[in-house]
Amino acid sequence: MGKCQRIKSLFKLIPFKSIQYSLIQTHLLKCDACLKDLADIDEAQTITVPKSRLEDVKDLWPQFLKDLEQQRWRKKVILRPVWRWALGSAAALVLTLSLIFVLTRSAEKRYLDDSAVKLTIDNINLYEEPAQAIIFQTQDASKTFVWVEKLSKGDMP
Amino acid sequence: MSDTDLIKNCLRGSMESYRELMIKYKDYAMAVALNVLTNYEDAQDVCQEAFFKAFQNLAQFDLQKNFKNWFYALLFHKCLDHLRKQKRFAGMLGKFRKETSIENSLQPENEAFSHSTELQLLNRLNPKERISLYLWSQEGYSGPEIASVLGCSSKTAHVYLYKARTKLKALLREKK
Repeated sequence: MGKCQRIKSLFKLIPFKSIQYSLIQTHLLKCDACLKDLADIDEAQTITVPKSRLEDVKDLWPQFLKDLEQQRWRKKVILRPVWRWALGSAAALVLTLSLIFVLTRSAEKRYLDDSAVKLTIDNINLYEEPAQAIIFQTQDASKTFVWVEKLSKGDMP
Repeated sequence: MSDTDLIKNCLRGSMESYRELMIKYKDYAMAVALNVLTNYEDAQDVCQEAFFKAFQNLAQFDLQKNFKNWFYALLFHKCLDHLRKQKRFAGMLGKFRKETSIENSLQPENEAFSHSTELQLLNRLNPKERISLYLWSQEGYSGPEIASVLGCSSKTAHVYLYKARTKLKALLREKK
């Protein structure tokens, strides 16, 4: 309908809505181009989602306020050079400390693994009689205990 | 209160005026974003971003111009950014999203909005064609007005609209 200059000029000339309406009606009866445009609009309306179909659109205000607050905080804290330096240094310190911690832990573990007593008992006698031995080792492998006990009669080999 | 008054108040520091603007335009924004992105949740996120961006750039807005068109242009660019980001996540995630986007968009919290075919058809047009078609058919925008939203010449906007209408006809014929 936008194409039709005649109807546009009529709108400008006559400002009364009821008259405009009847003019449109009479025009539409004659103008094929406008009718085609109207049919196209109807068709397009079937595949687009109008505003009226969206009920209960979420209130965006609370999230907007949150975003605004976040941005203000970012501006205040992160963007200031002093704070940027402070944050950077703190991060570097944490990183260094955790690296030192990991390295010392792994070195300690390696030392314990190397120094751990590897003990095997093939045969043990208690008062010249065969006995059984149980080996205990603490979790960090720093201590090893050997428990020897006499075999009871049923256990005798 | 008119948009210009609300914006003037916003620029003076009244947050309540911006809230009024948001309430006034949130449904319009959602409809535009939904028609461009064809996904309800994405549309909501992009609207949120667009309102925030508009607030940040409010001082640059020319009060002689139409706020709705200015905001639509900003929103449309946000939608394009979002689509570009989505495109980057190609491969597995991309395929998954493509398959689910239509389903998701049609199962929103919004009960009234549950017809899948519309968005499936709309999804087959490109974003510029989608927004041209929406603005023309639902909001009665003319070529120059669409051009102001798309940031192109009036002739180019007419081309987008013409292509959209032609594709739409073909799609509807195909559907029948």
